[in-house]
Amino acid sequence: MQGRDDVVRAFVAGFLAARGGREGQVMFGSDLHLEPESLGERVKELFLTGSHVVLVAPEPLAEALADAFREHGGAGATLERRRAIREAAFGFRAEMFSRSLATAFRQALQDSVPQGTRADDLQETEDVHPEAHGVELYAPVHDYIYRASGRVAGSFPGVVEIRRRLAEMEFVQVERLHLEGNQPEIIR
Amino acid sequence: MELELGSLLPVWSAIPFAGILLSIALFPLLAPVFWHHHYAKVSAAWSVVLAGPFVLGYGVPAVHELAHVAVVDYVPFIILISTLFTIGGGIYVRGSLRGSPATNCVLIAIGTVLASWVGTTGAAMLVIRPLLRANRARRHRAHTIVFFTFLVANIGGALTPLGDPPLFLGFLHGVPFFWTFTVWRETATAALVVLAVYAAHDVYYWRREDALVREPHRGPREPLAIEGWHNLLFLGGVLGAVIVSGIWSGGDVVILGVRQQVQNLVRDAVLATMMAASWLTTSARIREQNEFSWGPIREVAILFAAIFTTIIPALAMLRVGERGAMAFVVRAVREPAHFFWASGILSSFLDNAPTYLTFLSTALGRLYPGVGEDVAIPRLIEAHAAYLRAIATGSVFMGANSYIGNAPNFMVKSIAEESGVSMPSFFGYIIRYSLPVLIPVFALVTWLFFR
Repeated sequence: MQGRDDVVRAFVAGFLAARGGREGQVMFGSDLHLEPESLGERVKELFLTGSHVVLVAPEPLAEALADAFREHGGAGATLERRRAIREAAFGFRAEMFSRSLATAFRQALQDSVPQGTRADDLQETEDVHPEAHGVELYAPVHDYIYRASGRVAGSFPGVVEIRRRLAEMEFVQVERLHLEGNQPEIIR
Repeated sequence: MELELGSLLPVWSAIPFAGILLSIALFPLLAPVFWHHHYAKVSAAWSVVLAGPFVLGYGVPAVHELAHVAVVDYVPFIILISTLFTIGGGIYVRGSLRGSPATNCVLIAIGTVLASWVGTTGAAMLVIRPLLRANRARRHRAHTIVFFTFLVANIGGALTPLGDPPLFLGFLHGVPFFWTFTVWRETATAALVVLAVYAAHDVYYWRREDALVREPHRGPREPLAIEGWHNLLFLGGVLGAVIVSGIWSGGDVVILGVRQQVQNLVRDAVLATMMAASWLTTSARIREQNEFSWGPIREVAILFAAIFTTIIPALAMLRVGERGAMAFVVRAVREPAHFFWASGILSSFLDNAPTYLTFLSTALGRLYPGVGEDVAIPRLIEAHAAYLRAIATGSVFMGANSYIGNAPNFMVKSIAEESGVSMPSFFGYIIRYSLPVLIPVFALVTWLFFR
């Protein structure tokens, strides 16, 4: 959408309140850390921050929201493009130095995984140096090192949930969210 | 003998010294596992590269130099470091605190004051775990550990020869124990400004913590308690022995052809006794809680054997001033501010103990070329104390500039990471913390005290 972020947020809040929808049904690209889809989007992100907004909403809510923007003028915000999302994905990398942290990471990645979500290309290694246990001054090596990398892909809400879990953990670097779907449909 | 060697030695005889210092600085970053397993061999190799040709080329004077550095510098140094480490590792602070900015500032301030009395390594080992426990629930913790490193593992150690290895080496070379207190203005200025910057940082992050974390703790809480407090008595014994060795004269004895003073031998014997007493009277559980092992002492013993061996040509060349092959160094650093920054910049990336000795020799070579240390150091203190203050504070303070600047920095990083704190990378530490915080503080110290 073309328009100010705060104006679009206010419009969406009003729209959801009027329909009795719950907060969070419509997500904002800036909150989701979306990967720019093209060079053009990357440039807009760099130079037009605050005037370009990406919204993600489930059908049929998305269609109704698009209609509402068109009908009410969207308080100056205009619909620019839209696309159906088939799948979302992100890459991650982790390096941690205790077994308890590694266990917590594995649980976040593998326990209670939302339906339709999967971990691809998961690479895990454990380096164990028992002789390095304890305090060291000049030759420090951790006695336990866990490393993992991979990619989580699948249904949009599930991937967003897993990404939120991992992003909250120290020692885990999550990449931006990549969206797969139809070609964007240009509205104007 | 030594002075003759200083004017004879070629500049490339300092290469093994540079080699061991660069090995200590770079291997833990570039090849940590290799270094962990083979640092003893690397150290031995640099020692042999120097000692072999040195003895073959210069004969008896070279052997005397090696014996001198072993008897006068190396053995007392290792005994002191081992004793402080053993005593520090016998004290454990139990209990849980709430990691508010006020609590964190108090813990870091206590550690900063302790550092001059139990050594930066001992103070860091003592306070890091209570600090980590207090901040367990916080999301923003890395900045606290970095400022802890600045203050407890480095700046706080500047006030006594027990605080940081370079100052103890200065003491062994004739700098009086209580002279080190004269840097209290520089130390207080740097410590208070850095602590104030930390407080502002921590208040900023504290306001961004979840409300649950910021709420006062309800329910039962483990009270604060110090286990192994009797080790403080042994610490008092160490302090007394070191001070007495600086003011009492018991005559000389000759060991391996080297003249050593009786009071120094008595001091080392008392220190060894304190270490043994601490080891025998402290429960194994306290040492386990501190993850105490002899590993760090082994590291220091092996690496400093190589440092003290390879430093001989560099110090000898510097002490003869412009008559030696390192005259370019002597000519390059002339004012106290130069010494502060030159010793500081090198201490940021190389071990600060040999750096201190190098610049002390540079100052002596520039101001009193060819005069023995026993005469030159009292003259330096009397007439040009600013030079020694600049070298002492530059070497101690600027060890904080990078993870490799001082041995406890890596230890603190490692303990914090194993406790779940994501510490900044090598360059992240420098760019996000050292450059914006420490360098302006050191510029202020220069402007106030070394203009």
